[in-house]
Amino acid sequence: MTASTGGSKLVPKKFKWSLDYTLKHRSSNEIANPPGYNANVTHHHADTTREVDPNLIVKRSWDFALGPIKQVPMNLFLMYMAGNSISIFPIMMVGMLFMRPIKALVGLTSAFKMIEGSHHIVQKLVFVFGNVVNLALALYKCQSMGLLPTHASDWLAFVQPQERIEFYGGGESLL
Amino acid sequence: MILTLKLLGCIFLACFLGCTSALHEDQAGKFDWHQKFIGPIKFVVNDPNQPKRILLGASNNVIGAVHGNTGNILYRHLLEPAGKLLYFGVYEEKQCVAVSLLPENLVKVRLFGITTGVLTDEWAETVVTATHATESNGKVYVIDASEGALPDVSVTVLDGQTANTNKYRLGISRGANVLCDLSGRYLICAQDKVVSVLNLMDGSVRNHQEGSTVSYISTSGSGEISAVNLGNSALSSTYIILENQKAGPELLPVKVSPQPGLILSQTKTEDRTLLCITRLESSHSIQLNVYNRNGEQADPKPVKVSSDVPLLSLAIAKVYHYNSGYGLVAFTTDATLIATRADSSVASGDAQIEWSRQEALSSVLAVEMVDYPSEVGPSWNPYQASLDVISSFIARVKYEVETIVSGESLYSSAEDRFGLRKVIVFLTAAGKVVGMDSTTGSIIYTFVLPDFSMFSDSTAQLYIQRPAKYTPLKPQATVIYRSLSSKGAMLLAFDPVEGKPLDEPKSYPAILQTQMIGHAGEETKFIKPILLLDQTGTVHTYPAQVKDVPNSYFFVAHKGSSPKLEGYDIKYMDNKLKGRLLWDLNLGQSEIIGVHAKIQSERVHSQGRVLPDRSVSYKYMNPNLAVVVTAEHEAGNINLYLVDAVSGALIHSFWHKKCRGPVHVVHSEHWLVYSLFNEKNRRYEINSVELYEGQKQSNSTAFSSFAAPPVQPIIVKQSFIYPAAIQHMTHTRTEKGITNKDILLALPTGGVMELPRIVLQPRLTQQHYTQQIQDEDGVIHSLPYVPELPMPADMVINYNQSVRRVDGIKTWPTRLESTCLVLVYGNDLFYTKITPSKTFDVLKDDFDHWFITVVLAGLVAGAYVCKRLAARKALDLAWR
Repeated sequence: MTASTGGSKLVPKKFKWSLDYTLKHRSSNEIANPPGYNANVTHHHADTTREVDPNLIVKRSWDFALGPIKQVPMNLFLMYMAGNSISIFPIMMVGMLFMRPIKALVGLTSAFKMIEGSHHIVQKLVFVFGNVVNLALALYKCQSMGLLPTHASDWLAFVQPQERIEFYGGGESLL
Repeated sequence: MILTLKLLGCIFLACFLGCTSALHEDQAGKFDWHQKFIGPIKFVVNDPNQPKRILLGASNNVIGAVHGNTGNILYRHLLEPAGKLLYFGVYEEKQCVAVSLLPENLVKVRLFGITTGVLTDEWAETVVTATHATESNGKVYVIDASEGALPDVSVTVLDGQTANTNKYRLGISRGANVLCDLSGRYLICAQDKVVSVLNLMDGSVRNHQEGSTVSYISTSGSGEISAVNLGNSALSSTYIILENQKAGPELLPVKVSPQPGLILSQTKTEDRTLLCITRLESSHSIQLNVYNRNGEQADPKPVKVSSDVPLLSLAIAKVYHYNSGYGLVAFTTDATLIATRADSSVASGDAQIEWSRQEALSSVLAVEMVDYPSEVGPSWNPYQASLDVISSFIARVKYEVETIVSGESLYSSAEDRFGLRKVIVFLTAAGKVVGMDSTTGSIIYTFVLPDFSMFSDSTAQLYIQRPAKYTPLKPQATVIYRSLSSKGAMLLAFDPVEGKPLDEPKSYPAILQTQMIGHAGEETKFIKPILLLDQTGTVHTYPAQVKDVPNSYFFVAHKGSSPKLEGYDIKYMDNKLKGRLLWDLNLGQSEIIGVHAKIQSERVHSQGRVLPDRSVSYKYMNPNLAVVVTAEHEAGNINLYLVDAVSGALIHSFWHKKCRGPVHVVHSEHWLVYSLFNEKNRRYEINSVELYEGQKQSNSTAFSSFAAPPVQPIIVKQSFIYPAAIQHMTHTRTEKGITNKDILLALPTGGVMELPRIVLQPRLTQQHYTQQIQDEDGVIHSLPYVPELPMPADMVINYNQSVRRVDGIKTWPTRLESTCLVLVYGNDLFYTKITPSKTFDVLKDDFDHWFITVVLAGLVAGAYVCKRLAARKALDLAWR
């Protein structure tokens, strides 16, 4: 599989099947390999695929984990630019602010698959923290836009009228 | 900055006011109708030049003319509302004269052009007092025959420049029970069996002894023949009064059957004057006989006038001669003006009553509105819902089948569906109940209440005990009034849609107050019980089977020089409901000029007011709060007491120095708006009060007047100046109370002004409305306070349909939350519908249904075509 694809890409690699035209000294007790078969190559090839630099994995995972936090300054700038008025663009922005971290937090298991390496626990925590920070920013934006039902007036519509206990009738005397 | 804010505020105010109730020209008369009335008619005269023009004078100081063929008003003048019309008649052929008595014994004489009703002359004279007036040869005779002065009679002759008073003594004794009336130039006074006749011209008096006691006098009015009919409930005798130079006026008997109930009038033919005697023969026919001035029958065959509507009894019957035939205009005791067509009167043939006017509607005591029963769907019919599942299912299926078979929908029109069409039930001062269709203003039924008189403060009560939504049970309305004979209370239940009585009239002893319980259950078949509290403290109920009424209280305000408020607690003891005096409150030396409760059934949507800092001030919505207004006449003060009518607690009181009434009060939800006249500053003022519980509700689920500790409301108040007098004030009502409330003000100019209450709302204090919030909000939370209220002409809901002498305005909710029905009553009736917050739940009149449908259909078709085209293109691409 790698042979066919790798072959066309001019990468100087050793292939599973190749004819060795150089003459080698062979020990007598060994059975010669079939022509074109290089037993070493298989081994060597397997080694190279598995042997990625662990530092790289950690780095890439850090990149991924720090992604949400890196968005924070950008989000702050956007929030500042959008203003606090209730109109279509600020609302869309707030929607975006909410959607991204919530999506990320909902798909946490698949996101964690991307994080490997020795620091994975810290990285996972950092990833979650970044999303939470983004979410908090969104909430702050909502709050500064007055969209959060934090005041008594926001619950006024649900206040039921007081039930009447005593009833009366009458007025000026009819006598 | 401040200037900009103010400017903004003004613009906002202008926009706010400008958009409320203006009507397009083509909408005039589309949702509204207007009816004019004259009043309780006392004088009926024919124009001598044109007998078809019938001139009418009513005792409430209104004069006018109606067309003899149709009964339509040709012209009408409402003179001083406080005045009393003493005389109305023709003056020197081309004019008519009205003599009215005003307060402080001022007699005002006015001359009007008879054809146009234009005022041509007017003069006034102060007299001692006056009871009668007449006119002869251009002179006005004002007569004082009041009970205190009899047997002395003073006659003042007015001719525009001078006033001469003469005193005469009649041949009756001092004392009460004297009946007096004028016939031409003679004053006839009867006491028991003695009749004394005074000639006003020369002062000669003749006494006469009747055979039996005289209990009524009917005269032929002013004219050449002076005739009088004296009688009682069994017998009557008729005389023509003749001039006798030596012995004074002489009574010449007329040979008429001595029946009671004869009504005299006179008419002029081409060559002679005739005396006409009218009698109600049966409830559907009137007989009239004609006599000459010698008391001989001029026409041997009596004329018969038949009527389709039943007639009770006649008060006035004016016969006139037209085209060699006789016409009749009559006013019945139940305040209906009936007449033959002037054109159709032929010489010998019998006539027919062709038109009638319900003048009873000019003095309405109480109004209610009920839905037509057919309007209400079975799906929300509580009665059928209360039946068991199977029978309600059967009823429903039956109803649906009936609908399919008859082809008629549940609602005959959109008007019905939204509860815009109602039956208006009027209870009038004439003791008549009138049912009217609200969309057209046409009368559905009328009936007269037996033995009717009003309670002491000229009121009678009308309740809707069962609304129309309980079909097949009939709606039920109930009137409570005072019995004329026994002085007790009478109660009559009737069907307000058909006008048929549902029960025998019930009589009770004299009562203090009544009330209707606001909730009804299945045990009374959804009839809300009425409780009547009598003097002894016994509580009578209607229907009688009602046993216990828990948590019910009575509130009674006793009038008098030192008024007292009393609260009664209704308890079930010894198989009887008893009212026990719970508390009383003495208001000191003053006069009660009004008691204003809230409308009990009204719903309030929002329980608080949102302040600019987004906190909530909860409304103080004590359902038992009543406003009692008293006047201290000597000091010139007006007091308002906010009293809890159940516990007797005095919640708050307002004191206005140097003010006078009339005080019009609007009391609803948590607010109060009242108007009065400030004598110091000489201007009309409107005061607006709001009551709040504060930032916390003491009890969020229930309100009890006996709660401990009692809730002390926070009072917010603001005053405004109104640039016009106010005749009546009320507020709009909608079904769920979501729509803004407007205040309706009836103005003396005839307009009804709709003023948004938000304009009157007390402005926020600095505490909640800091400069910072003001700067942030602009003018959203609070309109800038301007003491002078505007009076923009486009807020007049009755555009040019002036309503005069407004007694009341009734508003009624419909099933459309945005819409409120308004009925203005007084001397006129005006009905319309208004939308205080605009028609947010109704499509506009000019909404283009066709255009929308065509566009939608076009879009759907276009979408399909595009889909096909796109599919083809994709296929083409794939093949390429």
